[in-house]
Amino acid sequence: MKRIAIVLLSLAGLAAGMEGKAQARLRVVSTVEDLAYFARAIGGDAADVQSILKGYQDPHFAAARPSYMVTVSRADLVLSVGLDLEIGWLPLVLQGARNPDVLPGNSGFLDCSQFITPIEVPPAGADRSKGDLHPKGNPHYWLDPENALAVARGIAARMGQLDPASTSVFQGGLARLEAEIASARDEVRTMLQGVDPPAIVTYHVTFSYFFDRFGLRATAYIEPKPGIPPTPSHVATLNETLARLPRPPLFLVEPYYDPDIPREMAERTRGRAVIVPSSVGGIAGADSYRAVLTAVARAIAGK
Amino acid sequence: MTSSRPYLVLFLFTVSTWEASAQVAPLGASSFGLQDRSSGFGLTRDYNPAIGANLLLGAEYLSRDASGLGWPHAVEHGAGETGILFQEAEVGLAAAVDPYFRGDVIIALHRHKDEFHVEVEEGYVTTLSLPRVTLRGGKFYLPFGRHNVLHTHAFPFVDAPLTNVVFFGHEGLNEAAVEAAVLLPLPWFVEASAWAANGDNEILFHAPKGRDLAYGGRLHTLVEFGESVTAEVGGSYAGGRNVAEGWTHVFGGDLTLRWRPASRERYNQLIWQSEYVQVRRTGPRPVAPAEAAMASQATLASGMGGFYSFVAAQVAQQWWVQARFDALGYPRGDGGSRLHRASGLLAFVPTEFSAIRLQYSYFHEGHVHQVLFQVNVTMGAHPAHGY
Ligand SMILES: [Zn+2]
Repeated sequence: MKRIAIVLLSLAGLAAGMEGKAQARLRVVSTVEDLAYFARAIGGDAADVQSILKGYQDPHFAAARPSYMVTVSRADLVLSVGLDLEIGWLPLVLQGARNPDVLPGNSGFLDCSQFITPIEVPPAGADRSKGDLHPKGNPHYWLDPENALAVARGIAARMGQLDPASTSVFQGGLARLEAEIASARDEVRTMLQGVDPPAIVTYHVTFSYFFDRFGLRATAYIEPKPGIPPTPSHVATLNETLARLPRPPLFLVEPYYDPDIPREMAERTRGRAVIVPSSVGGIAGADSYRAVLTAVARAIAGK
Repeated sequence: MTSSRPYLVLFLFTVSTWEASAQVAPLGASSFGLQDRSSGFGLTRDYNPAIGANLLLGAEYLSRDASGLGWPHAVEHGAGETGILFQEAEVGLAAAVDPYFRGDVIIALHRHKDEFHVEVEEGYVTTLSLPRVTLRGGKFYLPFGRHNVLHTHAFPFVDAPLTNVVFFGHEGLNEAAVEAAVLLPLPWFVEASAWAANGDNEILFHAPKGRDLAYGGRLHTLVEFGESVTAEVGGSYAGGRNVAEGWTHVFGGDLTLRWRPASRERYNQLIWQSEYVQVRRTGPRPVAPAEAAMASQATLASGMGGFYSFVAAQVAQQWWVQARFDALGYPRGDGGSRLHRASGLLAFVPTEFSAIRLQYSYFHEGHVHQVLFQVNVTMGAHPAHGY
């Protein structure tokens, strides 16, 4: 028994000796680029912000790459989208990081879905025969600027709680971010004013919150069920329906989906297929929250 | 001196059984709607563990009796005969116990040599609240290499590599143990772990009473080449006293290269994984026991090594094509023989929760052809995808 105790104690001692969180800047790690964008705007020079995934990566199918554990092991605050978007990989990363401060339930973990009201919540008793992915409602909520405002305020409050000395910096950053989000919202409204939108087809329920906010809706989805790839017969049926519409449809393609299918569908239905960002950094030039919203609006307005 | 027998005791099962029965009542009431969370018995569903169940069904064809291979134990996981296969049913429960601990229990019903066995495949408690280090105690797959820690439904192929089946047995290196795993404070991922376990493994250890602890450790690192390519390198050791009162040392090395192109995560992936294991024994070679030679220590030559290497390519969202080569007898050790096997696999994976796989294997020695068909389904809790 002694031998085990010695091994365990020496490992624990090694670990303890290596601890040292002397850095002054608040270290924030987010799962997706949009939450990092908000935290960066709020934190300014007082925070060091990093996103695990880039805006063009698929948050549904990310892997628990061990290097993410290293990133999270050094974090003071982890920002998660929640609503099970990251369920396939984040729990493993959080546990592997061995940083108790950022485990769910502690102040270093912020599930940002708590600041919004989810839509498309499956009815009680739903099962996976209807597809998987979003059992707690649609997690792609950040494309609604009102949700973005609520989330930004929630992040700023938590950052201030963790680093009270920088509260004034955070409040100043938040005020500028709120102004940016509000003006982006107004710009999208202006862009869509007087526009009679075509029938919109997306792969997935990625833009539901955006559509709800700006009075639009998706006519069809390329995915027959969330998370299930389209079969040739599903595509053929869709093409037939869309080709009968009085106006050619618009295909909005998220950057991490195969663009070939919507491009081919656009050809068959005389429509347009446009790759639009669903996150900051999703496509070249979409380097701000405003740029993301306006890129989607521009595609819809046809400008 | 009285032999104070150092033995790790597994008492987890009692706790987990209670946990499992505790949720039967409220689940039965669930037909009254999800909102109905109250229970007159004080049993609430709110903090029940996440429950996942797994079924492995299939069929096997074997061109001739595998006993002619000289390695009768090598054909496993298959029943080793032609027929319909009920490979395994597994139920896993996992939950945060409180802010300090996480509990995991995995119970499996599987077939071995024409009999069904129910066993606690794993049952362990992990610390959540310690910085840098995770301590774990219970019964679990010991961290040796990459394949040993996998449950049957997570195997990259339908069956296990020859090294794991022949050197570790059909249950793998799975013991009552304690483990400490440290994430080293480096800019890249390096994990060091050390464990002590009951040396009950019949092929490797199984010393006469009083000296049955086995020890081991693993060092595992990941290097990133850009955002789409990673390399993982690992080294493992396990050692303990064996039947003949000598020591058995097991050394392992593994290398995994992975290409997962950013923004194509759901469509494409390429994995090349290889693992080498060698078993060395000191002291006299054990005498064959009465039941003789089912890959026991008596048939395992000291200094015997083996390896596998596979390539797995995800060619579309729902399709995987895989190839594996594995062998025993590199080196042969003191008088062992060799065995070579080549396998190909095609998998249709409708979702993360189901897979239909067809595997063909050819054993070079004995010219045995084997075909395995497997349906692999997961219900309940969302599976975690280990990297
Ligand atoms: Zn989604």
